[in-house]
Amino acid sequence: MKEIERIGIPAVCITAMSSIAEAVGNSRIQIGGRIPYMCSDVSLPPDREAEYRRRLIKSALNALCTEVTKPTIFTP
Amino acid sequence: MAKKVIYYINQFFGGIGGEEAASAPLRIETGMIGPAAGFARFWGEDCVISHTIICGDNYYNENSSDIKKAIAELVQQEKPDLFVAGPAFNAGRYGYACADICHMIQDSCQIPVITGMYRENPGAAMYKRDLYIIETSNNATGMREAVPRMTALAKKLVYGRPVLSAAAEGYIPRGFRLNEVADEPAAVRAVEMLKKKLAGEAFVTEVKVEKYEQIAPAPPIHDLSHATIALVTEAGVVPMGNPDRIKHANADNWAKYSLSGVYDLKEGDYEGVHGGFDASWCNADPDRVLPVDALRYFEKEGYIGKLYETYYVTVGNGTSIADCTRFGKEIAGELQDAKVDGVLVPSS
Repeated sequence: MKEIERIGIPAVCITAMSSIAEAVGNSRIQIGGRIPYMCSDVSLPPDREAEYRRRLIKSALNALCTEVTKPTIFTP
Repeated sequence: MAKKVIYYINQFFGGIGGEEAASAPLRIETGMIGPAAGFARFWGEDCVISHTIICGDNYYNENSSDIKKAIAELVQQEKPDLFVAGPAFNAGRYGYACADICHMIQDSCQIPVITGMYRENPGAAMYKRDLYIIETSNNATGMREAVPRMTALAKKLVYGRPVLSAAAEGYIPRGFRLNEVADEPAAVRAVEMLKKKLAGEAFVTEVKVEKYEQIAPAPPIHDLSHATIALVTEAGVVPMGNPDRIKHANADNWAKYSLSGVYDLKEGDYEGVHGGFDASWCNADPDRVLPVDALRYFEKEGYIGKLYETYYVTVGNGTSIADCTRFGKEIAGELQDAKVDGVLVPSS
């Protein structure tokens, strides 16, 4: 991810392990679901799960549009 | 009785030439040449270098199977007590050759092997768990320190003496954890360490935590509705069958696949091959890890310009920092050429 940022393309890490992402130095970190399904919440019924994912991805897309100066965590 | 050693070096240390001689073919010479002579000198009287193998670094990389076969035959025929390669310092092709050959000899001929190279040499990244690799400096000025350490550890391997920790012997940590009983309980040791840290005194950590490079954040996207967004993941979502054979752990490659015409990842079409988490939820609906359905939704809504038609994948499970950095640079290059505006990176 840092190699992508290094050449000037913004990148957002979607992860349940935000503390590691922050320690490693990722600039934009979107808190995701759980480790095995970071873009989802499998406790929800299917239609609400899809809605959860859209909300999460929208937050991640917005993070791409947000100016940051240091590792920053975004929540949906 | 003297211990018999066969030694491998590259074209430069074999005195054939520098980079221009990197295509020098395999040569098997009797006796000791270059660093092999230094090795024998440090060992002392009961060591004989029966053969020095010299090969150009490019020639090795292009003909490694044949060369390994030839070296294995020599070892089986000559029955040395030890096989040595390098040290390679930070020469990547040479380090890879040294480690690759040593690994093959260790496996197929079951004799002790040893090599040496800089910690970040790709040969070390690939084989440090399998071999004793003495850690050297990053260039040949470190020869004076490297060879005695290689000889000392090699003697232990040949004579069956106990091998101590990586720090004590000077080899690159292999990932072995040896339990030992400390004088004091962990809580006491931790508090003592903390007291020293708070007082600004020196202390030795028991577990080394890697420090990571901080880079400046890339500027944000200004017009998302016209932006091309790509997906890059280390969570191992690949087409069913894992066509590029990305490994479940210690992956040494990345792959890219087309999302052209794909709007929703379906069970059975894709699978999760990351060995560090349970992939069953991912396999049931791969969008849970690679959110193609959500991105297609936003593409349709005009919230983003488009989802880039290719996604990039590897497995980030024990994959070395050196390899990840290399993968990142290669993938970043492709994204830049494709004028991708932003990237989402699902990470396990």
